[in-house]
Amino acid sequence: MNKKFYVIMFAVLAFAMIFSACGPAAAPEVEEVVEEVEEVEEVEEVAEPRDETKVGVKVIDSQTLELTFLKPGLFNASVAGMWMGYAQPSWAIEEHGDRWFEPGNVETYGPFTLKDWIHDYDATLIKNPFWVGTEYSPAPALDEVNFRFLDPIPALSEYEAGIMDVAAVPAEDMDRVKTDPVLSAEYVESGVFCSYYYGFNTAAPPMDDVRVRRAFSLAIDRAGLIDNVLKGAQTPARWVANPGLAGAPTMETHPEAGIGYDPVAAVAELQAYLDETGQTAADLDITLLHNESSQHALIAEAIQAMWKDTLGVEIKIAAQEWKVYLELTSSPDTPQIFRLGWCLDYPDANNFTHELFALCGNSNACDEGEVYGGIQWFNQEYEDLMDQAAAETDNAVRQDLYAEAADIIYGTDAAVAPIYWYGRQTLTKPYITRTFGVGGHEYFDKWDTTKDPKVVTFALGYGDIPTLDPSMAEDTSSIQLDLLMFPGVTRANEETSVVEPAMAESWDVSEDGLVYTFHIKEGVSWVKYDEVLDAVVEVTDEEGNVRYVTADDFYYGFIRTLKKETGSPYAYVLDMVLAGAEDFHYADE
Amino acid sequence: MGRFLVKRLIHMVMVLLAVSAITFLLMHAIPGGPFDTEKRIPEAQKELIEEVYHLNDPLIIQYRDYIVNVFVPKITSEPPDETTVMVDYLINIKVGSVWFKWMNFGPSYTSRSRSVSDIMKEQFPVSLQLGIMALIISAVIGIPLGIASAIKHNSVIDYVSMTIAIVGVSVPVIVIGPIMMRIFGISLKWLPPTGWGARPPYILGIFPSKLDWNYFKYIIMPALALGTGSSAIIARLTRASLLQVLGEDYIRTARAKGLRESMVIVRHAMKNGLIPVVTIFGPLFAAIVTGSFVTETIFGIPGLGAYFVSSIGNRDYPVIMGTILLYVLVLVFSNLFVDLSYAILDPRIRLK
Repeated sequence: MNKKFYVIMFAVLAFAMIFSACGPAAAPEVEEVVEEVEEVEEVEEVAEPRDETKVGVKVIDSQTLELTFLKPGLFNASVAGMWMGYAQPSWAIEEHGDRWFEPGNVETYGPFTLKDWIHDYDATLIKNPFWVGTEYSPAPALDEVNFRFLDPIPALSEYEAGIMDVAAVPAEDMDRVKTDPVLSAEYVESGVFCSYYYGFNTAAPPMDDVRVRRAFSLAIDRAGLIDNVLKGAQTPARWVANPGLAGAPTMETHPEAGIGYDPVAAVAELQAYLDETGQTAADLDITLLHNESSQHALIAEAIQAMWKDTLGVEIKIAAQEWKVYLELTSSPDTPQIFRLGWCLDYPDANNFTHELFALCGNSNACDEGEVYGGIQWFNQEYEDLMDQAAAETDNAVRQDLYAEAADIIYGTDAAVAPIYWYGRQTLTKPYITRTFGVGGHEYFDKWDTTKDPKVVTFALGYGDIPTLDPSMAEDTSSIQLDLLMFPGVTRANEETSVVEPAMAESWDVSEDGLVYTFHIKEGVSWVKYDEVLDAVVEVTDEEGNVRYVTADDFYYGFIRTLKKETGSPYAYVLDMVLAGAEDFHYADE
Repeated sequence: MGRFLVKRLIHMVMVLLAVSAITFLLMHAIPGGPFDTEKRIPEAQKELIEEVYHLNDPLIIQYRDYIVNVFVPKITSEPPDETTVMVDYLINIKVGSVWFKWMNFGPSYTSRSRSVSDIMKEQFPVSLQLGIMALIISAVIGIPLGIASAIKHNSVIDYVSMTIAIVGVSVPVIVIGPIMMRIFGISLKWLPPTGWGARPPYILGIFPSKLDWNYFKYIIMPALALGTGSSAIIARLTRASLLQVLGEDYIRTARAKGLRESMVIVRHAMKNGLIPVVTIFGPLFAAIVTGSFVTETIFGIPGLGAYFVSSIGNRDYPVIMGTILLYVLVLVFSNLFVDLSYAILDPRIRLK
C-alpha cells in the first residue's frame, strides 16, 4: 500500500483525535457541570420564565376545557380538533420518553388502539371495545385495520392477488383498470381536499406585468389537461380552495369566480403587453420550475405545449430536488413560474387562501413584513377580505367574500394560476362497506365488511410511519393513525367536512366568538393492547383505578405541543390562533 | 497473516473517518435542511426544532460531537436509557457492574421514535438476508451456466447460456420484478406478490429465527430479481476464466496422463478457474446489499435500502451518516474476505 496514503490518513485521524480531545468531551467533567448550572441560574434570573397560565387553554373542571382564541372565526372549532391538540397520556410519556408511542407503551382512547407496528412494514390497529361510540363516531364494526407501507404499484398487485382490500389506482394503470370488467366495477372516483396550482413570481420580469400573468393563466386548458394527460378524477379549478371546504365558493354558487380557460382573451392580453414594450413572443425568456417527479414533468410539458400553441411563447422547464426546490421557491430567486400543491390542515377556505397567499403565507414568503420569496405579491384589498371572511359566520356571505378574493388573486392580479382540484381513484373489494374521506384520511370506525375475520388491509404508501405522537405528526400517515386512536375535541365529517363533536359532546362559544368551552365526554377510558392477554385492556393508575380521559389530558397535549423542547412542527398553527400561544412557545423553560 | 489483519483494521478505521468527513461535508453542503417541509413553518419555529437536535452548533463542533459519539466508547455504571432516542448506543455490553457502550449514531429526524441504531438493528438484517440469498441464487445459476458454456465452447449450449447472461445483465429489477409479480403472484398465485416473512429479533442480529416456507415464499421473487443481474456477470466471468485455464499446459498434461474429463475439469481446471470468480463475490455482495433500494420498494421489503436513498431526500443527517458508514463496512469486509479466501485458494499468494 502506498505510504503517502497512510501519512494522509494518519494525519486525518490525528486531527480528529486532537480535535475531539480539545473541545468539551462527551461527558463533561464535574467542574464544568457546576459552571453550567450556575450559568443557567443566572440566565433564569434575567429572562422571564414561561407561564402556562397565560396560554389560552384552561381546565375548568375534569370534563370542561376552555380555549381562548385570538380572533373570532368558524374554523376555531376545527383547529381545536387538530392532532396537535389531542389528549395525551402524561404518565406514559414520562415513563417511556421518546418511545412512548411504540407498541407496548402507547395508550390511547379512540375507536382503535395500536396492536402492532413492524417498522417499515406494517402497523395494525385493533378495535377498542371500551369505545362505546358517539353519535358521530360509532363503535367500530371492524376488528382490525392492517396498514401496509407499500408503493401504489405493488399495492395494486396485492389488491389483484386478493390480499389487499383497498388500493389506489396509479396513473399508469388507469386505462387498464377502467377497461377491466372486474376492476372497473370496483372502481370509484371521489374528491379530496387538495389543490394543484402554478405560482407566478410577480417580481420577476416579464411576470411583473399582470397582463402576461393573466395571459399565461387564461391559456391553460385545464379540462384538456385532465382528459388527455391525467385521466383521473381531477376537476378543473377556477380557484385554489376546493369547493366543499367551509366558506369556499362552489361551481354552482360562483361559476364565474376566479379564472378559467379563454385562449382568445389570453392572446389579447399578451399582445397588449408585447405591443407596449415593443417585443415579440419569441423575446420572452421564461422558466417554469417544478420539483422532480414524472407526474409534474408530464403536466409541465403539456402546459408548455398549450402556451406555445396559444400564445406562441416557448418556455423552458427545469426540475429541482425537493428540498432544494423548497428553499428556492421561498427565496427572492424564485423562478418566474413554479409548481405548488396544498392539502388541507383543517377543512376551511381560510387554510387555502389566507395561509397560502396572504403576505407571509406559505407560497408568499416574507422577510420582516415585506414580500421576499414565492409569488412576492401583496394586495391590501385581499388581506382585508381575508380578515373579513375569517370573522364572518354566515357561510353564504363567506363564500361571496372568498369568491371576491379569488377574483383578485387569480383574475385581476393573476398572481397564482389554479390548475386542478385533486381527485382520488380507488378500488375497493365488493365485500367492504366504506366511506370516502375528502380530507385524505379514512374513518375506519364507519367501515364494515362481510369478510371473516373483520380485518381490512389498507396501503399507506412506501416508508415507515414517522411518528404516532400527536404533537409531532405532520404527514398523512401519522395523522391517519392518530385520528383513529386519539380523537380531538372536534372532528370534521369525512364526507361533508362539517365540524362535528368528537371527544367534546358539545361546546359553547362566547359572544365575542373568542372563548370556546368544550364539554368532554365522560367515562372514556385510556386503553392499551396487552400482548400477553391478546386483548385491549383499560389503563389504571397507581391505585388501580381506571384512568378516564379528562380535560387535563387535553390541556397536557396542547401545552406539550407548544413547549419549545418538544420541537412540534405544527405548533405554529396554534401560535396563529390561540391566545398567548406564541409567547409561551418561544419562551425558555 | 496476523500483521496483515491488524494493518487492514487500522486501514479500515482510517477509511471510515475519511468517508465520514467527506459525507458530513457533502450533506451539509447541499441546500435545504431536514425541517424544510412543504408546509413551510416559520423560520423561528424551525430554529426551535433545530435547537432540539443541536443543528445550530457550528458545523465543526457538530462533526466532532458525531465522531466522539460514534467512535469513542463510553464506560459507565449507568444502564442504557430506553426512554431517549437522542443517545442510543448500538453496542451495550455489561461487564460486572460496568456498562461498555459504543457507537451512538444519534436520532433519526424523520422516524421520531427511533434512533439510527434502532434502524440498523431492525432494517439492516433484512437487507443482508436478501443480499445473501440473492448472491447464493446468482452463484447457483451463474457458475454452472459459465462452466457449461466453457466446456461446450462455441456450441449451442454456449450461445444459449451467454444469451441468457446478456439478457440477465441488461434487464433491470424494475422490469423483471413486476413481471415476476404478475406471473407468480397474481396469475398463478404461487407466491405472495410483496412482503417479508421474518420479524425481529434476528438470530445473531442477522438471521431469521425460523427458516420455513413462510420465510422462503416471500424471499424467492425479490432474491431472484436482485440476483439475476449478478448471475449473468458470474456466468460470463466463469466462462472466460475457465476457457483460459483450459488452454494451459497442465490441463493438457492432465488429459495426457489419461484422467477422466470430469476429473480434469473439477480437480484441475476449476480450482484455478474460479479464483477470479471468488474475487468478484466481494464487490458483488457489497453491490447487491447496498443496491437493494429498487427491489425493496417494489416488493415492499422493510430493508435498509430505502433509508439509504430516502434519508438523503429527507436530509436526515444521522441516518445518512449511519447508513453510509455501515455500507462502507460491508464493502471493506467483503474485500477483506476476498483477500483471505485468495490465500486459501491459491497457496502462491502470501498475505503480507
